[in-house]
Amino acid sequence: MNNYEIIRNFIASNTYKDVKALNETTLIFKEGLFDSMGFIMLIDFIEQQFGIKTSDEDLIEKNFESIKAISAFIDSKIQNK
Amino acid sequence: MCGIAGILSYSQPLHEPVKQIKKMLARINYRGPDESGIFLSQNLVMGNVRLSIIDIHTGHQPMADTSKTYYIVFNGEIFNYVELKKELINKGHSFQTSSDTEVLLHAYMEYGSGCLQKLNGQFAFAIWNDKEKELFLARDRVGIRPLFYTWHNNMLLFASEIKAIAEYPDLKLMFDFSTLAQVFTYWTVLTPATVFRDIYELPPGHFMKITKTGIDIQQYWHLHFPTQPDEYYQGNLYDATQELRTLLSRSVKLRLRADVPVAAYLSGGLDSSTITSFINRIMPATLQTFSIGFEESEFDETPYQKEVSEYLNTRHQFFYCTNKEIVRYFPDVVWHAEIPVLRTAPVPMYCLSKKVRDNNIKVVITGEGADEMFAGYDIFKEALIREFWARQPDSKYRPLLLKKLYPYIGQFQGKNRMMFKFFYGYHLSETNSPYYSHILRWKNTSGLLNFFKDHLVKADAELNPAIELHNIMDNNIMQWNMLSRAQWLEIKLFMSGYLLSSQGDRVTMANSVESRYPFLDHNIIEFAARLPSDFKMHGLNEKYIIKKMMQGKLPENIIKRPKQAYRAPAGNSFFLSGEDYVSELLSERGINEAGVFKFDMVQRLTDKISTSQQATEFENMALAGILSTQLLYYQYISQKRFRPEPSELKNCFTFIDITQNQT
Repeated sequence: MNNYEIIRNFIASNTYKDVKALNETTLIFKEGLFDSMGFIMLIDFIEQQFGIKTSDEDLIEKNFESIKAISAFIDSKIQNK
Repeated sequence: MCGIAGILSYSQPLHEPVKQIKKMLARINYRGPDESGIFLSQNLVMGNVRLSIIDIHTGHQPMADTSKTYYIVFNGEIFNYVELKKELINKGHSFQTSSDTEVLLHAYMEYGSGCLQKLNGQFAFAIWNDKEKELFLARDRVGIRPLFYTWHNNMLLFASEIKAIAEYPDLKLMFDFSTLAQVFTYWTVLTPATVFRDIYELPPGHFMKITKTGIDIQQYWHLHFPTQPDEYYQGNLYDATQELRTLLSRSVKLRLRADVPVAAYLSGGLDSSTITSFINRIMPATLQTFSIGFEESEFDETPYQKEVSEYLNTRHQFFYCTNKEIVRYFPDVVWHAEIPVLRTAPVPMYCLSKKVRDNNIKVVITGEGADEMFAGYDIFKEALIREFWARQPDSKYRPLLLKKLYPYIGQFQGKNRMMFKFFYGYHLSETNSPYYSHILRWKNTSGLLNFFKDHLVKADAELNPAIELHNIMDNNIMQWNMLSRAQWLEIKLFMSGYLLSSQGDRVTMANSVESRYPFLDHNIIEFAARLPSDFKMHGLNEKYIIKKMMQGKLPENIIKRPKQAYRAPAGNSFFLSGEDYVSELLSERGINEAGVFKFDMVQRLTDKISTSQQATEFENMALAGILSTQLLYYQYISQKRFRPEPSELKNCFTFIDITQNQT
């Protein structure tokens, strides 16, 4: 599984969405898929799964608006480790 | 307080009417275990099971006027019957009993449907005019007492609860999936529908007249908020506080009218403490109060309950409701509620009314309605903060006010205020939508639709309240201020459709206890609606006018404590309880037999909740909603399980048969 699939499965499983209903550009917050608790869980998951740390500066809309954005964010974090 | 039922047919003779009405009434006999009665004419059979509270010895039902033209069955109370009776005597009416039932009957004879404007009470009733062959059904302003009906083979069947209607032979209940889906978005069904196909409620504040030639349903009371500056209350906050004190004192006094002892619920919050304090002034040192506590401190309010009961010197009794009891009684509560519930909170109320009844109390007074009328809920604050923020959407500071509502937001301290936009920015700029206050809650809840089978519900469809709510919306809503709009939605949907029903009438009447709500006196509702917003929500200080009024009359601790939403434990209690029904209902066989939910989704949910300590709010709602829907399927659709055995109708002291006079 690549990062994109891992993130998509996590979101699908925590929002009880059908995986097929999510694509890489689905706006996960604008469309109200996640509430604030869901977001905290997502950050936790990313940090544990990919062994990265997120700082306050990372938590901006651009990095989290879609699965594609989240995957790109993780890639850049891993590269800069 | 009682239960009523009836069958009306103009086109064909009633088939075994007495047998059928007895079956219907026996199904709801807990609403009125003291006695029962039946009225039979050629077109109509109707009856009543009675919980005797006012005029115990002569207030039997059904009741007729002396000319034997009008006949009534009545569920509820007319609190101002003493004053109304005087008015009617002055107009030449004479009375045989000292009951409110007879006053109601004469008020209808005198004023027709106009009598409803004069009633201060909580009621659902049916009056038959035998001369005109006309049936009149009516329900109180905000829906404290229930009334359902359906058309079946050209007959009208009506009753206080759906389960009584379902006793009629050949009447098979089926889920209406579109309204079932509404519960998983709005937390209730949009009136007049129910979750069962072709079964309707008479909406609160409405009456229905049925004649041989047709049916006429009309709304007789509207909840209005000011549209012009001069429609607002014109006095200052001090004046308003004094006026509220007078209104509430009158309301409480009226609601103490009973020929049996009256007790009060004391939750430890501001509203029930306020009501208890008012009762205490009228009947000092004799009041019995009851409260419920929980194992988990997160939900428990017993220290506050203790403090208020000691301060007001009431004879107080605490009861604990264990997580095990919540799970054990959940199926009973769903049977009574007749609609899925997304919370377990009605269960402790059911346990509490059981304890109250064990103490020989038939009537309790509670604080319901204050949160709706005087803006106590967080959803009102959330709407006001979002509106304030939307005026400057790029403001770094405005969304920080949300921290007051959701303390865990503190985890995002630092430079990441943009985060707020992720969750609370949903449709932020649409402040001119009538649903602005509720859209976020509905959107979050509607995620539950993902559990439904795909062909039943379109889970991915854009939430569209404008279409769904179109028929019940008030045309003036956009001329009201933001708080009024939010209050109106909360009163119309949540209060009538959940708080007063699933968590109110159904769980108190299940144990033959009547609840009374002084804050829901229509004089107080109308007064509260006229108040300027900041008398209710002062900055972000909720129920400000009540706090002002109670200064010095309640412990400071109670007045100043942050509002605690009444909630009950859920989540993995269901899996730890060892109750077999949980795994049975959620098994592949159970889910597939009911045919409502996708088993793989349900399994994902149950795996998650049963293995983790902490379920999210969303998951708790999903579990309660799915379990209660499954229960309703077995109780009402397949009728195979989880339903009490029908009993015989008892104590049928009144039988009025006018079929002989008519032939």
